[in-house]
Amino acid sequence: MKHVATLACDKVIIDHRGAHSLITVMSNADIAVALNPQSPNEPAEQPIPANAVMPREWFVFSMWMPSIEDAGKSFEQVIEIYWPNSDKFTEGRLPFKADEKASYNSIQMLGFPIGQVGNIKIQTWLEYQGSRITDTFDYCVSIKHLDRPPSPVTASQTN
Amino acid sequence: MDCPVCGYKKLTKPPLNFSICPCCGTEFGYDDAKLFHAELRRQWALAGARWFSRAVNPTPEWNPWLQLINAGFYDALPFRGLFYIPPQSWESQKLPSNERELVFQ
Repeated sequence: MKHVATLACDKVIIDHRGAHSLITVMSNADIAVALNPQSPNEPAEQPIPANAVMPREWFVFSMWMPSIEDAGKSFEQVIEIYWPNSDKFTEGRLPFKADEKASYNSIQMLGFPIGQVGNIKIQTWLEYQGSRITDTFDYCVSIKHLDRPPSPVTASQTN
Repeated sequence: MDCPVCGYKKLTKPPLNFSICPCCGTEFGYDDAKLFHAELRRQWALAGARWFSRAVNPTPEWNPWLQLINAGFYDALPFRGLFYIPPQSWESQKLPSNERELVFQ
């Protein structure tokens, strides 16, 4: 199996023919983070936890191209996601059966790691019968914290 | 079996009869006789959502916030984030004028 692409995106839409459409590929994200006010006496400025996760759906999409002898075999794609400080955030496994066409794999995530500034690293590889059979492929999403939400920017302002 | 307070998915006993969740430490039938699950959840999250048990260890990548999100308990998160994917810079996409002409020829 040849690795063609792995990336993170907002959404993957799969139509009735099985065609995949990727919405908003992510390579960097700005996040305005704040503590929810709990009481009037609470200190206004506290850092959010370094392991903070926000509820947000996102996807890791991968594309694999089979060779002739791969058709009909069952593989397992392993995905590991790491915090900027190299701690593991989460991992997932997606079993799939290859045919003669390209395999499109999408893994849905419900939470996005926002606690640390830096690169969120997504690592993936394929396993066959419990053994790793491909190199490890990396994709990063760079996270930046903003003090406040960005104001809407139009093309005319930036151009 | 899921903990109705923190969303921990590996309770070994039903959340009844004074069993204790190793994750949030709720003693069912005692703690939840005094407070609603939502209030216990809020207090646990506000206190840092720390693992309770010393006998049962979490997995190395255990994350309390992701656990709450996966259980649908968004309201308990003590922080919020506004996610913004910045547009690619127009400047970086500009081609020199001669290259632009080549592209469109």
